[in-house]
Amino acid sequence: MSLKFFNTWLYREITENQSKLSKKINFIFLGLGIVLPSFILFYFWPVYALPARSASIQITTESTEPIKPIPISIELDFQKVELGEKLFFDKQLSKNNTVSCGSCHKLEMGGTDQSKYSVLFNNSLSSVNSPTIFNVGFNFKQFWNGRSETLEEQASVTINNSKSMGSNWEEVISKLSKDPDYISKFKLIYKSKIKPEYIINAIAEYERSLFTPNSRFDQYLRGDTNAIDKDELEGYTLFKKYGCTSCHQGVNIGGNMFETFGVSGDYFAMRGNITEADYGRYTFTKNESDKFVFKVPSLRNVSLTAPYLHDGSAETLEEVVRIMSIYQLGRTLNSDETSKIIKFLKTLTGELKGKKLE
Amino acid sequence: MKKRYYSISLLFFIIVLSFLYYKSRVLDNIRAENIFGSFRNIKESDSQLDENILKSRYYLIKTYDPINDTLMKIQSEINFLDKGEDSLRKSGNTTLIAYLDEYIKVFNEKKTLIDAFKSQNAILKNALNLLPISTEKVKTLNLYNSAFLDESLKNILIFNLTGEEDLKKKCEENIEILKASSSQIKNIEFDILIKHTENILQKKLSLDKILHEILRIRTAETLELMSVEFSLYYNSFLANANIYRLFTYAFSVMLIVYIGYILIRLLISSISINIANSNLVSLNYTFEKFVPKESISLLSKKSMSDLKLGDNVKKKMTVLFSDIRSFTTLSEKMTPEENFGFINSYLGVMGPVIRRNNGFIDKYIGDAIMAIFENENEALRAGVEMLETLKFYNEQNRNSESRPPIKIGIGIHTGFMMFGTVGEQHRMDSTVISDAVNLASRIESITKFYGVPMLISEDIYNAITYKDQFKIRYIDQITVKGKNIPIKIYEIFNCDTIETIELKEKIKPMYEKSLDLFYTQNFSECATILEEAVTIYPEDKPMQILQERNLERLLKTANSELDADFAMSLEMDSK
Repeated sequence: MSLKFFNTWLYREITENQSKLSKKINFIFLGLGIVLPSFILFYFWPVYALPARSASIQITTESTEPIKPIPISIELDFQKVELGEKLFFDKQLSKNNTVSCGSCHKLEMGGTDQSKYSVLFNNSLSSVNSPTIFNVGFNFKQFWNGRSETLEEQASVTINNSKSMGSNWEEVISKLSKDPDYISKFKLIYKSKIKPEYIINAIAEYERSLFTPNSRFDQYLRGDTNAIDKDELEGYTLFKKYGCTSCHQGVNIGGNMFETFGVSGDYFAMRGNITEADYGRYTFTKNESDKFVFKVPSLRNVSLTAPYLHDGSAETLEEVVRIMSIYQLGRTLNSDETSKIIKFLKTLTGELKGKKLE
Repeated sequence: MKKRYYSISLLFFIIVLSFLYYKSRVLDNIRAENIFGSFRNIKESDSQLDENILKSRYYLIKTYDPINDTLMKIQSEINFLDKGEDSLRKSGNTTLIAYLDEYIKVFNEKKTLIDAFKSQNAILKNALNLLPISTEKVKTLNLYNSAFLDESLKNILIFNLTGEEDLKKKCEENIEILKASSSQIKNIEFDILIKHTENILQKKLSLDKILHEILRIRTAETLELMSVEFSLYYNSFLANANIYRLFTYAFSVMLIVYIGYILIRLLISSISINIANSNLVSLNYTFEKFVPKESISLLSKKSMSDLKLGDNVKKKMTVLFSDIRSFTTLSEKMTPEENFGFINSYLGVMGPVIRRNNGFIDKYIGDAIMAIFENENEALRAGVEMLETLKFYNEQNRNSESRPPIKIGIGIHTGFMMFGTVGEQHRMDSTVISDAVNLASRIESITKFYGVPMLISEDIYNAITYKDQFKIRYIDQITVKGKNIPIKIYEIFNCDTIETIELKEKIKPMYEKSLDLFYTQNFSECATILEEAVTIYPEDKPMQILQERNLERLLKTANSELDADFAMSLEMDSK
């Protein structure tokens, strides 16, 4: 109706005075074109106020025990774990395709190779004993001297180390790119071709999946008082009493701090033949106070990871307990105490992917 | 031309809009919130870290995991700020980057200090744990003055709590005393006791120093500065982005208005075109009245717009001329309005007659009509009908004193004619170029002379196929000026009154015979026949003229010899 009216009006205007109408319309639309946008600009000109936000408050209840159980499950990307597993056991990561990560960290041998020093790619021996791969995700730093902050960094350093695996990223990627399975998996997971950061990420994710929960001692900590027997419990009490928990505490019973090796005595003088690796953290920081400082190793699954210490010199638990008590605590334990502590240490063996470790 | 301007301006609008849109989303809220969230997390974790360190120092928590966890949290937030996708480092703000670098530096210092703290703390804790055990053992072995040992133990434990200078001196003295005796006693348990006491004394002080440094280190302040700087940075961006967004809206509205404008302009132009078109149609219709349609079809053209200067065609056609007798005297008595009213009413009845007989009016010359026919019979019929129509017209309109009946004369001739367009670029007309037209016009003017309404040429007379339909009589042989060959003219008297037709029929053989005699110079015989005829129809003007001419000749040629110079026609040199 109104449109019809408008049309007739327009028709009349056009027939009567077209140039005047043209001017009229120009004027109206120019006005609208200026007025409406100006209105928006002036009316909605911003006055800022950032929304207030209440901070989240975390309440943590703290158990009085110095040792915490390993969580039963942790968040993982299983596609990455699968890819990481393949890479972990892939010898192409070394220069001459002789060693993989799994060569020194054998899952069936408690995550280590159970020898004093490990055989590297060029048949030389490593300067320190290979620590276990189990529960490395709970360690605050990697390597005995803690020179890597993360698992990713550790993997990268080891692959590129001229002693350990002797390779470099170009070689590794060119080797891996020949495998269509790798290409498709990287494409699927990382939406990209094979890149160093993705390789180490997958390996680290796999390593994080190698945690060993539900040991008998963890069961005890979770409230099952029958999980360990009387001797083992006494061993734990001794372990606390003699101050072992000063360093070996937390989820990983160690692995969360540095400590000087030889607080109460000079171990290296006793052993003699000091190598560069014996300087510990000093080799990395060149800080005088860091001489003979090592990362406190985890005691999880400790009964499976012989030989012990960074130099692999202690072949049995008895020996390592003795060395620790003398050089760290400044005390010799009697055989009863030692055996009880060892009994306790043996309760720390957990399960890998639901299977009890042996 | 105009349409190109429209598209150029629309393109301009689109470019400006896309630029504004791009600028309006340079830094969006989510990215900024992530960074603010990261600051909050760091702040929270940092205070948790300090809290956990203090708790560890006083053995309220027995593991270092909480410290490591908070450190890891802070580290991951720093990684986000440092290397993440929307990191501060990518913002390009040098002040922010400087603060970030400063924070990373400070945080790494703190981390190193915390590592040292953990080592020292473990040793101190161990020593504190084991010193009472050692003291008890030494006491049970009765190696030393137990009261002094208790005093020493008490002092060192109180010193561990208070850290007082006096106690420190006392403890140092105690250690000196114990050390002095150690060389004599030579017992490992005693040595351990001294070692532990020494450790507590040393580590307590160094640990307090480290703790002091940890708590003093300017992480929180640096973070605060960085946060404030980022707030400023973000707000400046937010302000810009919001204003760009606002301009985007404003420009969009402007664009909509502009499109509306274009649409209404198009509407107006389409309506204008409609109007112009209808004007043109009516104009064309009017022009067709001025320029006969038939002239276009004669030139085998589809429309008037196809007509060009110099188009022509040659064809045998018939021209009809008609004229009102003594129009000049008539018109002098009338006003211009009356004049045009009269002419138009007269032409208005004549036009249809011509069209009806498939002729067309080539032009009007005042009261005169020039019509063209392709068929001679039709031209003739049109002439007859015109006279009949005039009769009717006179009865209807010219029946009063002031408006006496009018008389017309009609002349028809046929011949080859050139029909075409003449003029120049800006003024053009269709016209007929032919001798036949002149002759027709002459014949028409001769009707006045003979006092008959309608005359035709010999060519028409020969051409018509239905001679019996018309009442025709031979009038004379004439020579028009500028022509040597005499032509015969005939009268059509179909439209005379019945009596006149009868009289004309009656005298027709006599008149024709007398004409024949006149041209064979038998003037006396001619005179006798004419005298007889005049008695029958004395008002006939052609006959009067012939009689006059005959009489003239009779007086001239008394000797009855043939005149060699005798003209075989009547010379028409004037109207």
